[in-house]
Amino acid sequence: MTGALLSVRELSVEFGRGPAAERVVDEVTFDVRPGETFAIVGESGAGKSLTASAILGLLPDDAVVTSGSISLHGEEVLTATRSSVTRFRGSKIGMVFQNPLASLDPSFRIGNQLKEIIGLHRPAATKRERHEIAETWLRNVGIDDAARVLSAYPHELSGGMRQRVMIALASLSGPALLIADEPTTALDAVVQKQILDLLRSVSEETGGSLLLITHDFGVVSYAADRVAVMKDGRIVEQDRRDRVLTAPADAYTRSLIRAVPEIGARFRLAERGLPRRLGPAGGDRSPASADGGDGTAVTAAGPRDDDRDARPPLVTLRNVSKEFVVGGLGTGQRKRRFRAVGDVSLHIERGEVFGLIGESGSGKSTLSRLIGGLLRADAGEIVFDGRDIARLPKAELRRLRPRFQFVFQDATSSLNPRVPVGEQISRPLLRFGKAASRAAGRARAAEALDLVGLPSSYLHRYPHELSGGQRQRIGIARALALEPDLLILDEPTSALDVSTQANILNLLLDLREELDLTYLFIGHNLAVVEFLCDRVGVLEQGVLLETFRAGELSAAGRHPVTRALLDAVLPMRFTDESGTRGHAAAGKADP
Amino acid sequence: MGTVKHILWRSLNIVPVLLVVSALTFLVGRLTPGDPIEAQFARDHTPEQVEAIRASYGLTLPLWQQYVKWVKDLFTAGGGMSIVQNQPVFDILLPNFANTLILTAAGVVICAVLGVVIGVVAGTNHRGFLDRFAMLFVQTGSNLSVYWFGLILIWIFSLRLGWLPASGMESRNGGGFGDLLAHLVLPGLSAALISTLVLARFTRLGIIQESQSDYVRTFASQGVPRRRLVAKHIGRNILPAVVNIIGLEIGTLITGVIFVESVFNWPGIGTQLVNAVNGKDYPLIQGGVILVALCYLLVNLLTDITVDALNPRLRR
Repeated sequence: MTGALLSVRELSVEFGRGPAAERVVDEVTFDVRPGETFAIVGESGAGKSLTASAILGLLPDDAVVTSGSISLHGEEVLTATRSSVTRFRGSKIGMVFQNPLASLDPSFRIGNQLKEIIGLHRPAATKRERHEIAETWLRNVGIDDAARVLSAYPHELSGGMRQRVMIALASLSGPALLIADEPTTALDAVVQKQILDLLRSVSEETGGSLLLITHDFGVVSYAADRVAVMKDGRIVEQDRRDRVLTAPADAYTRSLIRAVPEIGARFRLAERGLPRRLGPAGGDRSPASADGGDGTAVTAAGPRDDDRDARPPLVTLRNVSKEFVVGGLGTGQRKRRFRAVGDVSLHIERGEVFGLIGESGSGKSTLSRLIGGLLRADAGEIVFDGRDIARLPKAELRRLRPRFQFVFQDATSSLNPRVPVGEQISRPLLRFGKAASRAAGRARAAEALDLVGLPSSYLHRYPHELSGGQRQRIGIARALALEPDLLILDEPTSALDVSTQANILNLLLDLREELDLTYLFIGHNLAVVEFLCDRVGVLEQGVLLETFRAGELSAAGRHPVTRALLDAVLPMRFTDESGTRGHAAAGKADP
Repeated sequence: MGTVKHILWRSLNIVPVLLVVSALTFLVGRLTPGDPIEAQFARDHTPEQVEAIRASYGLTLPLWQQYVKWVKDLFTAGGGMSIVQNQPVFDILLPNFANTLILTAAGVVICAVLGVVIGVVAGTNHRGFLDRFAMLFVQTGSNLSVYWFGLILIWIFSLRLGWLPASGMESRNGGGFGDLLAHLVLPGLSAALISTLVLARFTRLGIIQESQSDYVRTFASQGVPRRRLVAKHIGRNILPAVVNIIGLEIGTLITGVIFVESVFNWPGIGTQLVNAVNGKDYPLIQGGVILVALCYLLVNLLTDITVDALNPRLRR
């Protein structure tokens, strides 16, 4: 292809040397044209980040480029000497990284860091000019109080603000190519959209191209012009965005796109009389065989909506509040209180999936910890099956604990790395007297594994021997082994790949049916929440703004905060005859 | 305003710690067997006279009254009278304690400079030849005994090469500051040996860890040269850890130099304390321990304040 800005040809990267070397990027070829946004999409371990790092010569120490070429403006990058690599870094290629919290130096003020880079690219600029350039760029990335931000340390800024600063830092020298490696993964939905808009407008302003690395098809559909899909180090398909999204040529691409939860998907499935399932048709409980399989599926709309009211609610919250105190005697800081949860009243019916949404910091997790008895409420009552757990003596609360169990977001750090997973499932059984002996505990643990679709041989494995999705299944099995009534799911899928997320969501739906469970589901991806939940509550600054049935998510008269959250969902855009399917379909599904 | 209050509060925290230390020192001295009055006076005095002497030192009072009296003496009577030397304790200890502090300070300077240099060289050449060589040196050095190392230094630099004096604090006919420095080199080196290596290890590890951090990648991706990354960004971020280790090592040095003093015949507090323990000279032992503890606590306090001030998260 002529006129390409960046041209990558048959690039291969291996970890290690010699026969044991592992090929992680395998003959990857693509072009980024001037002015376009090119996205590389793939699941974790597909080699997309390594490809991006190779372009800047920033591969980890033990990774080696074994063959291929990378050229920028026709100039070979791979063979460039160390000093010339440094020269085109920043000036010709800028890079924005995934984790804005760690990507800025914590010990220097923002102004100092920006001015250092400016000084590097424009050694002739005076102090005053550098300051002005820094200020202008902060305004360019949508920061109004530039003066405050310049004199702030990174920890004083929110994640979104830090990512804005990162973008300013990477683009202030006007690079021809801006590489953004999962730039929004660590941010919440509302901020994600702002950052994507900003990346596009900044690259338009500098006239440069944008190379976007992501695992999120929503991001691709929202921002990319052309897309390459990567799997196991290879590009399986690359084309214009609309073609890849509407008429994917490769089976893997199709399975990925089908696994993406969309607003309204559940109701469209119901209209067509299909089971409520994400991903490849039918879907399977076992993570090994993601395609094929049958599974006893739940019909999509949740048929149990009507017969539920016969039983009293499982959980009832009346005017629950929780305050945290920061600082005080001996810390050298002024004592401050802030209200994490304020006067929340709600109820969760038996057998229901109740969703909690809100931006990060809105008190979702605190509220779930109050309901799960991990924190004590300051005021109000939390009635679980007829008993007020906010006021229950410790011993009685302990006896009640097996009945409400948690599944956390980070499956890896919620498992003990040095204990086999079987042991981790059976220990609480023994502790709560649910199993009489170790053998009985093991048997129960095997049953729990079976429930989540893992073979009992996994009992002896250690967490590091499992994939992310399998670890999350273990987390669910550990909770289920205690036969809880209520499962509190704190963003259980937000750290997982789309296909894995689809599997876990399907599993959760099956288990609820099978075991008559009630879920409290916390999520920030509204499409997932709508797909899974029966009713949804919206939190902001610890206050419950409204609750509604999942089908009424897009109904008129929703609270502005809910609207904002909904607007932040990146719809899968299809330019075929049906137009944008996302919102339109959800609107139709309104009762 | 907040910081001043914070520092005051931290300083106040020293008082209860000192009280506990003083009580422990006091008790350990009294509860171990042996009687200094018996040992010193029993041979040429009648039992009645011995008893009178004991009473004159206040040793017949109940234990808690003895303790209270001693704490009062610390402030008013120079730490009480030494039983063996019959002089106020602080009059005996302070001049020598100053010498000990001089040796400690030399050790700290050597430790900080050498430790950081070795650590930076090893850390920036991670997995390279210099790193391996430096780590071999650190491994070997950590297993050396201070006595043996001191003697080897004397053998090489004093006896063989004749460059530096072998012992003492000043030449016979006196000498200026330069003379003192010459006398400080060898004992300072041997005192600082272990601490230097500990600091080198931590510095190296800090550099290696920070090199892999995201912000270093950010600035590298903007074309900031490696040398500047280490000097500015990595250096600034490992500084609090380095200060912390140095602070801890000063504590180790204050107590550690006591061994070195005996090898190099340094007129410090070490010999005096050893003699005091042998003679069961309670007030002298207690006075010495309190002085060392006080220094230790002050160093810790200073370290904490410095580390806090270096961390932007803890400022304001």
